[in-house]
Amino acid sequence: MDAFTQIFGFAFQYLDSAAYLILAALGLSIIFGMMGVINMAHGELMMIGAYITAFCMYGGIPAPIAILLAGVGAGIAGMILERLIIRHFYKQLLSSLVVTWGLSMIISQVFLIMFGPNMPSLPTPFSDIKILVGGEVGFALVGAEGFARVTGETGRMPPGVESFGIYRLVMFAVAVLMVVAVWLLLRKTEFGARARATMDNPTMANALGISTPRIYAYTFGLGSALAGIAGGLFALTSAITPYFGAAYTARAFITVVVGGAAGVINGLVASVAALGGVQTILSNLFSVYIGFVGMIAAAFLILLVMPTGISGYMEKLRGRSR
Amino acid sequence: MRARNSRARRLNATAMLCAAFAGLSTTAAQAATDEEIVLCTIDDTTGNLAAMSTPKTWGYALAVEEINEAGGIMVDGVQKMVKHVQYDGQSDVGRYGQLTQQCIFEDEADVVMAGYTGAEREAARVEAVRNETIFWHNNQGEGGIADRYSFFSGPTPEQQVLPALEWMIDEFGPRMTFIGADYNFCRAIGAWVRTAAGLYEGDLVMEEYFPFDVNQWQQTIGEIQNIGPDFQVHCLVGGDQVQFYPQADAAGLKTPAWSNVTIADGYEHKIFPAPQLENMHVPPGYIEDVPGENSEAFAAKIRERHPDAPYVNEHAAFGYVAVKAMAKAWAAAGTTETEAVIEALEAGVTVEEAPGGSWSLVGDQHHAALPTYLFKVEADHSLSLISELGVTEPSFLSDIGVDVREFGSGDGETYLPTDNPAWADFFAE
Repeated sequence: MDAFTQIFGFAFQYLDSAAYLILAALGLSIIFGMMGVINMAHGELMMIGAYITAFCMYGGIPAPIAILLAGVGAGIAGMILERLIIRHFYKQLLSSLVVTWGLSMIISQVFLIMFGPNMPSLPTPFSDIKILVGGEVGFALVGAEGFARVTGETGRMPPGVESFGIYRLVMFAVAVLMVVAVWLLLRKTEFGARARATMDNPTMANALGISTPRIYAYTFGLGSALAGIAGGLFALTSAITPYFGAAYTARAFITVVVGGAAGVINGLVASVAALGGVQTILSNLFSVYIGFVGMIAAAFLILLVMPTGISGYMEKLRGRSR
Repeated sequence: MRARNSRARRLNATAMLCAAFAGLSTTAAQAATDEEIVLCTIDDTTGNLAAMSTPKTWGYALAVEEINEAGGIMVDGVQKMVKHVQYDGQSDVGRYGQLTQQCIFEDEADVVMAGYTGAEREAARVEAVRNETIFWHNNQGEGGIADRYSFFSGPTPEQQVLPALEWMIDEFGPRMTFIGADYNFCRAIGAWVRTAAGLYEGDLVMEEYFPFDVNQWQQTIGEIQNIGPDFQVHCLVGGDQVQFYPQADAAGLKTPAWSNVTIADGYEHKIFPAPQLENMHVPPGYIEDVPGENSEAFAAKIRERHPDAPYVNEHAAFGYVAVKAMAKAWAAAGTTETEAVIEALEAGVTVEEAPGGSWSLVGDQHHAALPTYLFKVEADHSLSLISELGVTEPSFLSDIGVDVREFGSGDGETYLPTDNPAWADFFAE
């Protein structure tokens, strides 16, 4: 394998890992990072998004709209949960953990009873378009016909050539757009200012005339909607089951905790850059298993050195230099 | 004070009711054991394994229905009906030990059949064996379990891995890669794949195991593309790991693949959109695409009772077969007394109406001789039968000198291909 193929493969995996962590964690970074609710049902909100996407697409709605509807649906579901249950457990870390854990079990079990153990999977968009790198091909973007020409009758890749799907790159692009959108929303809009004020000091915010219960509900809804969109994006490349969300919850928590609560979005980006990098490097050098274990070990080490997460540490450094 | 009194009264009343119910259910259970034969089954009808396991309960219910409609079984001079007690394991291995005890002590089960995964099977089997109760595991397994009380109706690697990989090596060439879930079943399958490579001049160029929650596969896909094998072998288990298929399809990895955990249990060809599983080869002992009268009749009966069934899978068939085999053993023994029934089973029991084709228990092995089939998943996800692998008599245990009939209580052992001295070279590295 030539150096270019190797570098391209490495970069592709890095973007893939980063997209995965950003999408899994962005909603939780609002709900846990900003609001301080240990939401163990985060994966289930993603699962709700996946199911909405699936039902919309069975009904012929195009994928981008289906995914947006998934965001709206999961957001509404999140707000209902917040009003009925979550709001009673603000500032009670352990209670919120137990309650949302219970919720996650109930939600997935209800979906199992209502829709059965498996839903027909969705086709991955752009799966006909592939990037070919290395060997006799060099670098090429090919459609189904071009791909068939390269692989010939055997369906096998010529030596030295690696192929990559486009959809994972689309996911990365969408993940970046979502991060930018959330940053703008929190930093540049009135809602963002009110939300940050409410999370910082609810009593003062209330005294200044902000309806804090409404802000809590909207903010939880925003986090849920982001989870729903992420669920919709993942639904296009995975099996859709009631337990779809479980694998994402743990990774989302690791990412958000490492990022820290001092700067939700900066922390998330730094955390994803670090953890995604560790995972990509180790799984290339050793194995996927070592990559995964290494990511958890890295999270552990980062938290040992920076107990308040990367953003907390940066804040502290900044405070010191002032 | 008054409030507390009324609360206490309510508590007392609840306790009385509970006691009354407990009393009632005990009497019911005792009455049942006198007049009925008790089959107790534990399967995951909820939780993340429900898709695979639920059809097994349909197989059990159908077999019991047919046996009872035919007038039951003559034991101890009386014609007795079979009573089917069914528990939900909830895809939680922790429940299997306790539910098995419930089967044995409360329901006074004459036979316990339990578990999908190897972990569930072992949790239940340990309890059944310790209490000297006949135990069946009824889907494909890793084989090699030798125990007086344990019986296995499904196909083993001798019937799936060996003949199918011989065919794959002949057809596609010797170089193969193996990726699998990191747990006992896939580790055992990995050992059998290594054995097949040794026996049929294959070349296993990659062998890697993954935790269950791995769902990002680009790196592995790239690695396999770099190796460029003649075919791939998979043992990918669970909703996260099977995400390999859409990702491999999107990345253009089209090399033929073989897996004994795909399609037969989880009917993935019905769940993933075509052509994500194109070129996958699978070796089931039964799926509803198996041709033949038995197969069609069985699938029709299941569909009649469960019109929403997405697919009639291997579990449905081997659950059905195990109950039919027990019925024959009870009838042959003329009693439900455990030792006599084991003797009847070890004398050899044949279930001709088995959905996959005639099935016979091999007495000294406690595993069955049964036919397996090699299917290929086409681009439109239809299955085409490309080779009947034929009936394979299990001989793994007898080849290494193990005769389960000589086992006493508590002598159980589990053997792997590495225990066969003739195959030591395959594992020499």
